[in-house]
This record gives sequence, C-alpha cells and structure tokens, in this order.
Amino acid sequence: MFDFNARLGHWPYRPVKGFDELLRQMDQYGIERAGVSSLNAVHYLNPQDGNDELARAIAAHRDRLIPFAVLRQNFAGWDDDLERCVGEFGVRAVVLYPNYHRFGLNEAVDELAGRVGALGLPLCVQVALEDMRRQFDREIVPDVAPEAVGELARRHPGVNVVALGLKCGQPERTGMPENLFFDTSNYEKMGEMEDAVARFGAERILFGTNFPLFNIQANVDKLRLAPLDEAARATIAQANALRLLGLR
Amino acid sequence: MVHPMVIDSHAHILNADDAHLTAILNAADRAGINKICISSLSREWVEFPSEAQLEEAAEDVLAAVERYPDRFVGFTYVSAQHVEKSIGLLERCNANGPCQLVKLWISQFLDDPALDPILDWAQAHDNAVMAHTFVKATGNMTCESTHHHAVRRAQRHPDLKLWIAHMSARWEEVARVIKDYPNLCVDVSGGEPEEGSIRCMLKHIAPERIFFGSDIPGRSFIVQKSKVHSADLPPEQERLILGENVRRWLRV
Repeated sequence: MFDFNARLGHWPYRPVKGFDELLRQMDQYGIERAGVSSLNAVHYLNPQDGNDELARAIAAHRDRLIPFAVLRQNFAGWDDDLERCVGEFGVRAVVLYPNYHRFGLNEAVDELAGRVGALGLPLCVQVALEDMRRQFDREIVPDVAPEAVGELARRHPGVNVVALGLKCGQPERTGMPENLFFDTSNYEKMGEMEDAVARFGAERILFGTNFPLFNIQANVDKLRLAPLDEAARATIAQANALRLLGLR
Repeated sequence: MVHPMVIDSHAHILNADDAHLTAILNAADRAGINKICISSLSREWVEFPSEAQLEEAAEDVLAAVERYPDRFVGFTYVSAQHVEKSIGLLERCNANGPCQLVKLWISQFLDDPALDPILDWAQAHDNAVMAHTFVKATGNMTCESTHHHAVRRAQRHPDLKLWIAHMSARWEEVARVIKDYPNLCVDVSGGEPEEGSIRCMLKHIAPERIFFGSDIPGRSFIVQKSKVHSADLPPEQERLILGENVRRWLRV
C-alpha cells in the first residue's frame, strides 16, 4: 500500500503522533511507503521552513517516506523553494493549502501550477484538514470549494491534480476532469468505496490516511473490507500513487 | 473462541424499504456488527418534526424491527413539542411493541422542562434515552443541545439511563463535564475518525460509559469502528465499548 496523504509535525490544537508512530503503524497495517509533507508548514508563515525540517527528519528513511513539498504562491520565493525541494530533497509532489494560506485557486496560482506540471509532479490541493465544526473557535478555516479544484484542473489539462480530503458528494462538484484524482482519507458514508469506484473508476482514487489527524486504521479498513474486486483494490492501494509519482 | 457481541448504538434508517435495510445489514456484516440500534428522523429531516413525521418515523422503525428482529433494536423518536403524541408512541412502540429505546434530536434543549413527562415515562419504564448533543464551532442549531444541557438533565433525572451522541463533538472536553453523573454515558458516533478521542475520554470516565456507534448511513460502520480498534485498548475495555455497555441497557 502507498499512503498518499500523510504528514509529520505538530498540530496547534491537540497533540498528534509523530515520526516513530508513523513508521510503526505503516508496519502494522502493511503500508510500504507514504507520501509525507510537513504539518508544520500549514501554520508557518514560510512553508519552506517546514519543507526543510521534513527533509532532515526523513533523510534516513527515504526508501519508505517520499517527501511532498508545501508551497504558497503568495509568499515570495516559492519558485526558488520549488527548485530546492525538487533538486535537493527529491520531492515528488506539491501540496497547496489555499484556505490556510489565504489564496484562491484562480489565475494567480497558474504560474505555480504550470511550473509543477512542467516538472512532471502532481499538484495536490488539501480541500479540508478537519471538520469545520470541530475547529478551534478562534479561527474557522473553511473547506476549499471543490468547484475551484475542478476549474484548476481544467485550466491545466497537462497537470495531474489531486484533491485531498474530499467528502462524499464533493468529487461530483469538481466535474472530475480527466486529470483530477482524489484520496480516500475523508471520503466516508455507508458503502462509500464501492460507490466511488462505480461512479469514478478505481483509477481516479488514491489510498490516503490523513495521518496524524485521523487514525490510520479507518482508511486501511475502509479499503480492505470494501466489496471491490482485487484489481480495483490494488489500483487504489498503490498503483495509482506509483503512476502519478513516477515510482516503481 | 466466542466473539464478543458488537452493537452499534447509533444508526439511522431513511425508510423501511427492504433494499435499504438489507444494504445496512450487508454493510454491518462486512464490519462485524451483530446488532444495530436504529432510529428514523422521518423521511425528511427537519429541526422541528410534526406529529405526522414522528408517526412516520415510528412506523418505519417498527417495520424494520419486525422484519429483522434479531438484528435491529428500535428507537422511538419523540419531541417535547408533541408530548402527548410522543408518550402515545412510546406506549405503542416500546411498552406494547418491540422498540426499546427513546431518541431525542434537536427540537428541544435536553434540559427543557417540557421534556419532563417524556423522560419520566422513560425512567418509569426503564427505557434508555439517546440524545443528540453537539458543540459546533460554526454555531449550533436553534435548540441543539450540548453536553452542558445533558448534565442539567442528569441532575433532574439522576436515575434515567441517558447517553449523549457524537461525544458532543468535543471529545477533549465532554468526559470532564459528565464525569460526576454515572448514569450519563456517551457514544462515539459520527464525525471524522480523529486520532485519540477514546483514550482522551478515558482519562476522566470509566470505559463502561462509552458506547460504540456509527451514525450510518451518512457515516460508515467500518470507519467509525476504527475509533475503538485504533485506541489500542485492553481487550476487556474494547469489548465493553463495542457492545457490552449498551447491551446492559437493552433486552438483548
């Protein structure tokens, strides 16, 4: 299995598990590799500080932990950060947090999307990290509108866009252009997996856990126990991630 | 080896169509769930149900429980806005029918004195009550209770078997608030499978006061059950939370 949606770092609103626990649970649940980004970068003014920390933290485990870079197009020097993340750290994807970092998925993000696509990397958009209703009252961060993610993907047909944290009913709102994919982490209702595969095809769905905010077992069991044929299960569990990331 | 009974204390049916009910049972089988406590909030979920909608909810639950008596345990949905109707439904569905539980949602605050006759009835008939509670950072509904309303109710009805739903959407706090009221329990249904919720509550209340629940069909049996499994509890505590605790309040 390949977890396309894991993070390492602190979360300001409650204690979360870290590096050792991620590796332990990956072993426990049979997850060979994970795409990991910096959770600190969600709240740092300069997300590159989080990317730098992450690169140091996982340096000895690059066989299992694949770095993803967090960038914000409204912070100067993101293009240099992208170059550094790819050249020095070997990142295989870029993650955007438009609503935490206060930018829209409009034309202002097109240059970044084009640069990411030119490097052959998928561009991930974190639609939601946690339920708005459960957020700390001090500041409510709304979900990214799924329609905006769909529009981004349509403006950049050569870029693979991955919507992370979509809920049931939201993929439909993106219009699901051919270059748009989504992960399982927050996709939940009774019978969600068989319904998703029937609606969108297994090729569009990636296994993701939202570690450390969600428990890993939720998504492991969601996929393991779903009434899917084994080919579809394997496609979601790993094959799609490897294809998008250019890994074997 | 005898497997412990797993009881989902918080599930909904949308209607009594057999296709819907069998879809629920098939999903429960895949998740390893033996019995499911079901309520209906009528076929259209509204904040303030009419008498006709309470009746419709009762009819659907009765039909489901009568069709699958070994799998479903029924709640009767009641409202403080329709006390006479509610008690009539409880007489018919619970005292003289197969239902065993009482369901309160968001048409009144849980400490509203208008609820007293309904909860007096539940206590006198030894029927447990499950009440929706939630703390929304985005703002609660008009009469949507929190765990603080539940405490005030427990003070008025200390012998009532009462559990509050969804960990009140504030699992970091709920157990601190209810800890001194031993008949006040909490279910873990609904919401996202956030890491750490059950272990956090266990700092303040005993495992006997925590019930597994799913809130299907809007949620998943499997994902919601992972909250219990992923807590890495001693097997006896896991057994209690997955079914034994609510079973003590049922005729199962």
